[in-house]
Amino acid sequence: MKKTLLALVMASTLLVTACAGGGNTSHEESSSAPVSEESVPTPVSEESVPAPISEEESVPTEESTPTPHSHEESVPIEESVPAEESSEEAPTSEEAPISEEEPVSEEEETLPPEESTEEDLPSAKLTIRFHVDSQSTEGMAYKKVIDAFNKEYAKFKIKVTASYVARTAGDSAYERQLATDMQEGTLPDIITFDAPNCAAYANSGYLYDISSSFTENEKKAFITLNTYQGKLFGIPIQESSAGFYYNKNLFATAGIDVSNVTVDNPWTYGEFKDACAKLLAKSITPVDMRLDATKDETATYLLYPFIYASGGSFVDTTGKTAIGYFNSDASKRGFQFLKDLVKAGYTSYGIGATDFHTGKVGMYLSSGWTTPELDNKFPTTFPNRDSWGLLPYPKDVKSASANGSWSYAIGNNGRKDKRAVVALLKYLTNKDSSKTVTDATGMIPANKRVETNYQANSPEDVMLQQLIKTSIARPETVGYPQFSSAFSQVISAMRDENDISTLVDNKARVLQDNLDKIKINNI
Amino acid sequence: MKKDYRTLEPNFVPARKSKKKIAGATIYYIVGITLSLFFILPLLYMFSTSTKTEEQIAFASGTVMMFIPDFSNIGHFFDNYGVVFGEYNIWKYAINSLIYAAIVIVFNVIVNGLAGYVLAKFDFPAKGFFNFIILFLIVVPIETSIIPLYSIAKNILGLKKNLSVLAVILPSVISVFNIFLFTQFFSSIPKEYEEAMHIDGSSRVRVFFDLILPLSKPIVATTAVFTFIGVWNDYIWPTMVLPNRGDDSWPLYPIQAALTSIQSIEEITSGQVMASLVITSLPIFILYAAAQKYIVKGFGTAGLKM
Amino acid sequence: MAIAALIIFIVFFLIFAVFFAIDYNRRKNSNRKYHKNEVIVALLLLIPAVVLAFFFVVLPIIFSFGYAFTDYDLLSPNDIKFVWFDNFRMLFKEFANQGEIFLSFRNTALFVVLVVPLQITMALLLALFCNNKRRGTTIFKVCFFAPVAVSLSVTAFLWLVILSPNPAGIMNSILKNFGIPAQDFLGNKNTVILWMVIISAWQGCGYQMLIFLSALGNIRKDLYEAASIDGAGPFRKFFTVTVPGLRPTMLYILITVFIGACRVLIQPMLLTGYQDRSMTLSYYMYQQGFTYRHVGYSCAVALVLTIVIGSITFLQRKLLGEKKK
Repeated sequence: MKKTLLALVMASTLLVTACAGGGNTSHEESSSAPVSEESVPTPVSEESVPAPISEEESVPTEESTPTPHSHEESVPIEESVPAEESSEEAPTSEEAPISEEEPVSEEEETLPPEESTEEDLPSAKLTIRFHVDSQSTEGMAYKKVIDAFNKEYAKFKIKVTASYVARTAGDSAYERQLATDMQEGTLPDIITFDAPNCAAYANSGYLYDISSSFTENEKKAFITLNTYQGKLFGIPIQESSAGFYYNKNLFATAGIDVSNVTVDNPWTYGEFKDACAKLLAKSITPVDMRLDATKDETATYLLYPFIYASGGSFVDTTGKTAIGYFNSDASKRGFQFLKDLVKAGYTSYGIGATDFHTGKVGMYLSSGWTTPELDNKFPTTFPNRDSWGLLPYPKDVKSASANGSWSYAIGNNGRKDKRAVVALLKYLTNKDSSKTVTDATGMIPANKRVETNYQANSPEDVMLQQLIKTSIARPETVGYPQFSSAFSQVISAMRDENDISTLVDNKARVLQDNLDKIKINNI
Repeated sequence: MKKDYRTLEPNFVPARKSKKKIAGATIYYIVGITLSLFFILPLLYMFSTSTKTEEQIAFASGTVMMFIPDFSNIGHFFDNYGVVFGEYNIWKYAINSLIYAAIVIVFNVIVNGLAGYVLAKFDFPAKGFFNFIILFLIVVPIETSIIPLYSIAKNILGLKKNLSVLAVILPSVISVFNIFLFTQFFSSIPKEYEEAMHIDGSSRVRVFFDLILPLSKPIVATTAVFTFIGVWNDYIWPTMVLPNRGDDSWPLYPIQAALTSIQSIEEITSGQVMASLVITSLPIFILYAAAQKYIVKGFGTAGLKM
Repeated sequence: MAIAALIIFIVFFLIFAVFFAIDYNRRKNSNRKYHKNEVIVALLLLIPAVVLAFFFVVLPIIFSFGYAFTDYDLLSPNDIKFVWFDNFRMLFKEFANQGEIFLSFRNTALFVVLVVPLQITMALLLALFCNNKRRGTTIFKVCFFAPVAVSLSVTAFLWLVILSPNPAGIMNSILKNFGIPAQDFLGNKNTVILWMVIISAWQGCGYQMLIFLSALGNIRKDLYEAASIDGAGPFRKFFTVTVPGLRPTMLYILITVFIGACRVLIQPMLLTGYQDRSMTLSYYMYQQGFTYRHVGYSCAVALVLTIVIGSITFLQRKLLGEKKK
C-alpha cells in the first residue's frame, strides 16, 4: 500500500513539482569519445572562405542606444550589423586570464593546425540543456538555432549536443538534477535558469562569471541582464511582461474609455478603481487579479509590481534581511491596495480560470502566454483583436511592471577554456537566434536589436514598452523561493484577514526565519 | 452475551415476502448507483473533458456539463486522442512502461516472495531482527530519502548511462510492504503441505516455486497489481535517472515520465491532457477489475495482522 | 559516500551478528535447536531482498537521517558540514514561537483526528454494502475503488472546481437551494481542514474497503445463521459477529490509515498550496527541503516526525493489539 500510495503521490505531483530529466550530457563521454567522429563532418572548403566574418569585424558595432525608447528606430541601422559573435572572440582570447594558461583539456589536442587568427576557437564538444520539451514549438526553435550553430562552427570543429528536460511549475526536481550534475561534474556547458534563481545558483557556484566576456556595448543590447553581487551571470533568452487583458465589448457596455492609457501615460490606482466600479455597476465581475494563483509562482509574478509601485520593497541589497523591507509602510500600502480591491468586490478568489476567456470578467491580469490563447482558442468571445486589448499596470507613486523570464548561463563545470562556450552563448543570444526563438514563442525578444513590427498599443507593444520603461525585476536574493512563498501567503491569507499590517508583519518574520537558514558563500 | 453459535445448526431460514424483496433490491441499486456516481466523478470528468475543445471545456466549467461529453461534435469525439497518439507517440512510452512493469513484477514476486517465505516458514536465528526492520521501514516517512537515493544509484552502484535502465528497475523490485504481505500469507499455508513435499526430498527452493507460489495466486495477483500501479505511475525517479526524452532513437522513458514532459508543452490543450490521463488510467482499471476477486482473497488469506 | 555506506553496512552486519548469536545461544541447550542446513538456506534466500533493501530503502533513510545533523543545502552537495543539533534547536525554537512548524503540527493533528475515523467508517460501510451475493456488486466495488487509481492531480483539480468559492460554483449552487450563502470552502481557515478530510477519505477509502471485504469474507457464515436463529436483528448481528470478526483487520487498517494520514502532503499541496491554514508536517518538510533547499533542516523534521509516528504506532499496537488475547 505504501508503495502504491507513494507512487500515486508521485504521479500526482505532476502539476506541482518539476520534472527533471537525466542529464546524460556527459562531459566524460565527450572527452573520451574518439576524435574521428569530430573530424568527419569538417568541410575544409568552409574554413578557407572566412570572408564574411572578416567583413563583419571591420564594421564597428554602433548600437549604444542611450534612450531605450529608440528601440525601433535603431533597428534598421543595426540590421546591417549582423551576428556579433565572431567579432567578440578577440577580447575573450586575449583579455581573459584563463586563456593565458595553456588549456589542458583533451579537446585542445585535436585543435585544427595553424589557425592562429583572432577568431580561432579550440575545437570542443559542448553540451547545452534546455528547460522545455523537445516537441514544443519553443524546443523546436532551440533545435533550429543549435543546428545553425553547429553548421556555422563546424569549421572550428565545435559541436553542440542539446538535451531537453521539460520543467513544469516547480523547481525542486530541476534543482536536484543540477545538484547531482554539479556533484558528478557533468553540468552542461550552457544551462538555462529562471531569472529569480540567478542569485541562488550563482551563490552555489553553478554559474560562470561572464562579466568580462561581454563588452559594455554588447550588454546594452539586452533589455535586462541577470546579475548577482554586481557580476554578470546570465543573458535572457526572451522577455516576458504582464498586464491587464480587457474585454473591449464589456468595457464599451460599462462606458469606460481607455484609449488614452499607454505606458507613457498610464492610469492611476484611482482610475483603475473607477473602471472597476463602472464594470461592477453593470454587474460584470471587474477584474481577475489571479489571487487564487498562489500555488505556484504565478500570483507572485503578476502582483509584485503593485508593491514596488507603492514605493515598497521586499529585501535589502544583501538579500538576507526582510524585516523593515517586506513589511515597510510603503509595502503595506501596496498589499492594502490589493485587499481593497477584494473588499470592494472588484475581484475575488473564486473567479474561474477561463471566466475572462468566456466573457464573464472585464479584465484579466496575465502574462504574454495569454495572447495566443485569446488569438486562437476562444473564437466565440474573442473572434479577433478588436474584441480585446492589453492595458499596462496602473501607477501609484511610481510605475512598475513585471519582467523576468528564462536565461542562458555558462555552467561552471570545470572546463578551463571557455572560449568556445562564450562563442556559443553569444550565438544563442544574437539577433537572429533571438528572433528565431521569439517568433516561435510569441514572447518579447530579449535582444533589443531584433526588429519588431508591433503595432502601437498592440499587446506586444505594450509589453515591450513596459519592459523598457517601467519593469522592475523581482528581488535579487538567494532566498527567492522563501520570498515568493511569503508573498503568496500574504495574498492568499488576505481573504479573511482585515488587519493587513499585522499579517504582513507576521509573514515578514517567518520569511526572516527562513532567510536566516541560508548559507551565503563568497563567490 | 457471547454464545458459541457454532454448536447450533443452521436449519431455520426466515421466509420473506417477495414484494419486500423487490423493494429492497430497488433501494439497494438506487443507493449503489448514486454512491458509484459519486466515486467515479473524476472518471466522468476526465472522459468528458477529453472529448471537448478548449472553448467547450471553458464554457462547461463549473456546471453539470463538466461531467457530460459534448455530443454536438461527435465527429471529432476522439480528436484529442488522435493528437496524443499520433503526434506525441505515447504508445512507445506505454510499451516501455509495460516492459518495465513486467520485469519488475516478475522479480518483485520472486525476491520478496522468497523473503516472505523464509520469514514465514524457516526457523533461524535473528528472525526477530528482520521482522523489526520490516515494521520499522513501513512506518518511517521517506519523502527526503530520494535525495541520497540518486547518489547511491549513480555513485555507489555506478548505474549510469547504459545501466540507467537498471536504476529504474532495481529500486522498484524491492518492496518491504510486499515482503510483509507475503509473510502474512505464507504463514496461513498449513505446514503439512510442505512436509509432504519434504518427504519427496524436494529442496526448499523447489518447494517455493512448485508448491507455495501455485498455492498463492491471490497474494501474487495482489502484489502484482499494486506493483504494476506503482511502476506505471512512477515518474519522478525515471526522469532523474534516464537519458532525456526526445533523443532520436527509441526513448527509454516510461509513460508517466513522458506525459509529464508532454503536458508541460504550451500548445497542448486541456482536452489533450485529459485524453492522455484517460489512456494512462485505463490499464489500471482493466487490471484492477480483472484481478479484484483475487485481491480480496489475497488480503483475506493474509489476514493482515500487525 | 561509499565509505559511509560501507561503515553502515558493517554496523548493520554487527547488529545482525549480535542478534544471531543471542538467538543461537538461547536455544543451544534446549531441544529446539536450529538445523544448520535450514539456517544456511534461509540466509541465502534472504540475500537478494536484503541487498536490494539495504541499498534502496535502508541506506537512503539512514543517509537522510544523517543529514539532519548537517547544514546540507540542496544546491551545494559538495559542501556539507556537521552542525550537530543546530537544526533541532531551530526546529524547537520555531515550534515554541508558534511558527510554521507549530501550525503544521496543529493542522496535521486535527487532520489525523478527523480523517482516521471517517475514512475507516466510510470504508466499512462500503464494504458492508458490497458484501452480498446480489448481481452488480463487482461493478460497485470497481467504482468505489476508482478514486484510488486515478491520479491525485485530477481529483484535486476536480474538487477545486466543485468547491470554487464563486457563487456560481457547483457546491455553492447546491447550497443556495438550502438558503446557505456562498462559501469559500478551501479559503476559509475554519473549513479547509474539514474539506481536506472529506476529500482524503473519499479518495482513499476504496482501498480499505477491499481489505474489509476480505475480512468479512473470512467470517464464517454459520455464525450469522446461528445468530439469526437466536433472533438477533441486523444490528445485534453486526455487533456480536461482524465486529469481533473484524478486530484483527481493524488494527491493521487503523495503523496504516493513521500513518498515511500523518504523512498527508499532496492534498494541501494541490488544494491550497503552502498556506498557514492547511500546511501539514510533511508539507512543511517538503517545502523546507525542496523549495527552500534546506535539506539538512528538512531531514531533521523528518527524523522528529518519524519518532513521533513510530511511537504512536507502537502505542496503538500495545494498547489495541493485546486486547485480542
